[in-house]
Amino acid sequence: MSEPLQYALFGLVAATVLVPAVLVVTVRNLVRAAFWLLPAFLGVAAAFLLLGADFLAMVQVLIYAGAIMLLLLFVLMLTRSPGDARVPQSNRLTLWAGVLCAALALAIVVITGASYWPVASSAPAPGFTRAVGEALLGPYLLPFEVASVLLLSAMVGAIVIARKEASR
Amino acid sequence: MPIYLVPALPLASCILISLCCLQGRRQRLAPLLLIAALAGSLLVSLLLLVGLAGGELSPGPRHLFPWLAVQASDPPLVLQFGFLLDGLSALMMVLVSAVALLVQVYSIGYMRGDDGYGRYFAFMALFSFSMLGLVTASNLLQTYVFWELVGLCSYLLIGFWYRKPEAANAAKKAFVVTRFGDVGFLLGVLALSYSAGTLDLGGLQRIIAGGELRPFFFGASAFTTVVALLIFSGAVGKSAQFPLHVWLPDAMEGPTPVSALIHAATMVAAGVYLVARTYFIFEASPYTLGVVALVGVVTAFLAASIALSQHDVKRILAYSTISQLGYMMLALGAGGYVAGMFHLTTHAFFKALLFLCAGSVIHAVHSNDIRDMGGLARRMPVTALTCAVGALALAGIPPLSGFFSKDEVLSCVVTSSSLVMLVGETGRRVVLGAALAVVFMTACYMGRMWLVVFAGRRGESADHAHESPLVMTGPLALLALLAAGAGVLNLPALHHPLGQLLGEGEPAAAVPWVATSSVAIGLAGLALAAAIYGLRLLDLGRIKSGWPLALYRGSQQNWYLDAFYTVVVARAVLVGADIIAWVDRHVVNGMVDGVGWLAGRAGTGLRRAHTGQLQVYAYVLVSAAVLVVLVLWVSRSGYVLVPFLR
Amino acid sequence: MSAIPLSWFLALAGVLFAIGVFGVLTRRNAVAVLMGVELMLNACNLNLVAFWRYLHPTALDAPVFVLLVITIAAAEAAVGLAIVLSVYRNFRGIEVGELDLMKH
Repeated sequence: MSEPLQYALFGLVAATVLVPAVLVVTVRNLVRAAFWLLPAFLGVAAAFLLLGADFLAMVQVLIYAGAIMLLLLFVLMLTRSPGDARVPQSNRLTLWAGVLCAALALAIVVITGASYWPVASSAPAPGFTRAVGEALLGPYLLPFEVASVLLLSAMVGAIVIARKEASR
Repeated sequence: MPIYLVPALPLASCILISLCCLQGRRQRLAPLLLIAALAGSLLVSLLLLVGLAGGELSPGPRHLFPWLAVQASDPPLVLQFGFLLDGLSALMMVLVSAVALLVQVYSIGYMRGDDGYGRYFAFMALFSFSMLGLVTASNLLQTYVFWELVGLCSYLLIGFWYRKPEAANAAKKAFVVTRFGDVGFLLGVLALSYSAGTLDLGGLQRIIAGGELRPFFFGASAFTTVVALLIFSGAVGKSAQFPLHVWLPDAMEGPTPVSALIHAATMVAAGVYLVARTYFIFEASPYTLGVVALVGVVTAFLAASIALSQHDVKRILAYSTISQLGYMMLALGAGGYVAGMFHLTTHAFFKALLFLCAGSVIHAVHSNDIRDMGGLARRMPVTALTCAVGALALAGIPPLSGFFSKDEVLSCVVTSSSLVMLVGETGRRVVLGAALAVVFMTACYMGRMWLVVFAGRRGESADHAHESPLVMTGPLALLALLAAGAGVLNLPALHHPLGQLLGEGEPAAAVPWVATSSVAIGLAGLALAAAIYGLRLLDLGRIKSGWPLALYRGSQQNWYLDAFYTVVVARAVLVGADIIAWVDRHVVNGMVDGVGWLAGRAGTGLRRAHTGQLQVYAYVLVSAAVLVVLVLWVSRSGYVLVPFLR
Repeated sequence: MSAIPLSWFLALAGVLFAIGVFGVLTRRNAVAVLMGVELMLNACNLNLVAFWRYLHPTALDAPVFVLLVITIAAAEAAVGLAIVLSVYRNFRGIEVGELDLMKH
């Protein structure tokens, strides 16, 4: 792939991630904010693709764009109180938080930019998905199983916490 | 015969009395213990004196043991505690123990029935120990320690009847006023210790006489002058010289035997003793002897003028004491080392005698005021006779002891070179004139006292009066004998035994016209007193106005010196105390309170961080992390901005 | 993607992370805060993948790790939102500023 094309692609992906992200944290209407998450997640998935982690991109779309966003929207709907749309959604820390986050971003960008990274010259082996699958059931079996248990307990816990009180 | 027994025996008796004899019927044991101890001290002192005079014992310090060593100074200062035996200390030991012994015997009668009978003798024992320790001390700091002890005993005994506010105040006044002098004394001692490297009296004498003193300010002669004056200030306080004499008249609040022993014969003589003891310092510095003499003569004149107008018999005697102490200082200052000590000795005898007589009269009449007395000679013959002996001795009538000692004092003034050095020949003549005027006034007030008390019409109180018991009149008689005969101590005919004892080289030449003129003046004073108070030729009651009355009033009020001290000194001290109290309340307390206030405000301020709001906490967290990163980055790499575009 | 330097991806992830922090600190609604959290997690994943691709492309522990992060993010979102629901039911409002019972 030619260089300018690469740059353009990266720029597009970056825009797709960052602009909606900013909107997520600033818009007043929370439902709209939740919806702005979608292009952000998809942008991240695209970035994964650029980096050659195709399986992870798919997982990202499935889980994040699919499940987590939906979950957020559900809870938003369930916890609406009237007049929410008119209430400002940003608190009094806004200015200072803005300063801090700008500083944080600047710090990270500058430091990572100025550092030396020992870039490897090799490329990832083909068959990423297969390799990941074999890893999950091979050397990384234990984390895989533990993650399953975690998901189970999270599910049970969420149900327990969120259910309505038993009527007396 | 060990010298330490002399102070140790009274100390032992003090301890015993304090342990056993302070309550109930056992109190009657107390004076016996003390008298036994004092008899022992007297015996030892006499033996030491005889041995010294006969040449078997050599003068010098004894029983030395190391007391303090200050290694840090250069050279190291080593103080040794010990007892000094020489002519001066032997004389004082005998004098103090003898007078103390007689006074204690007298006290058995005088203090009978008092609640604090045992306590009285305990304090008296402590005083005897302190005074004997003072005169036998072998170094100057030891002297100072006993000096303070003597002051303490004086305080305890003046305020013996502590429930009486006048007595308590008098005790405080005595202590505080002498304190002024004591500070100077201590400063002098410290200066000497630093510059001479020793405080041992013999060592000091060698150093100063040899001119090896190392002054640390001014020049050598100015330094010795300052030191001498500082030490003299202690004497001014203790011996009630002007201007620190104000405590002695008030000290008469104590029991009369106390006044006799402490404030006539012994403690007040301590100042004179100190000047004699450190005489070599005074001799080494110019003008100081002249200063001593001037202070002495001013004191003598002033006090005698006050004594003329007092109505309280003890106050007459108190001012008389002050005046005679001034005489002793005059003698010492005029170069008469022996004359001063001679007068100290004779004065101890007749002044103690006079005070004990006064006590006898007071005991009989139950009043101190001479206007309540009169015509007591019939009822109290022994007292009257012994008192007459004392009075005539004080007035300087031969052949009583006072004549001889006064004569020597006056001769010294005539031949004094130190006085001339300070005030010139005219000044010396003025001083001599003042001294002779004091002789006149002394004879006057003594005559007045005796005649008013013992002669004339019998007042009401005389009817109830009776002679005192033997235990009181016995000491009176003995003291009268001593007062009469002590003149032999320094007779030229006997080759000046006292002078030889004290190490005087050759005695001063006698000045014959001094003797005759002083006797004549004394007789004139007595005649005047007799004219006014005996034969009633003049009636002083007719003087009602004008300057004689003003003089009279002034004389009565101690020439307003007490008022001056109250207004100026006491007020100044109180103002200073108020200022310091204000500083303490507001500045010091303010600082402490301020710290507390600061802590409170800081706490209140910091508490705001606990808002309970998560996002605030999160904010703090993140900003801390960013800060750490930034600090690390800057410190590690040294530069902040680097373009990352390759 | 050899033309794009690693630091660009890292910068992208860093900015995304900062945006997420801004959301966490600033938003009043609890759900909105959780949205910010999700953004931060995404940024982390992006970082991980970028490092893997440029520094150790042949290793497989990074992708596995990313998978696990996603898993845990999902679990956390579920539980967190359940808590939000419960809070809403008990307090009738999910304003973050009013949930300050920990103040004392």
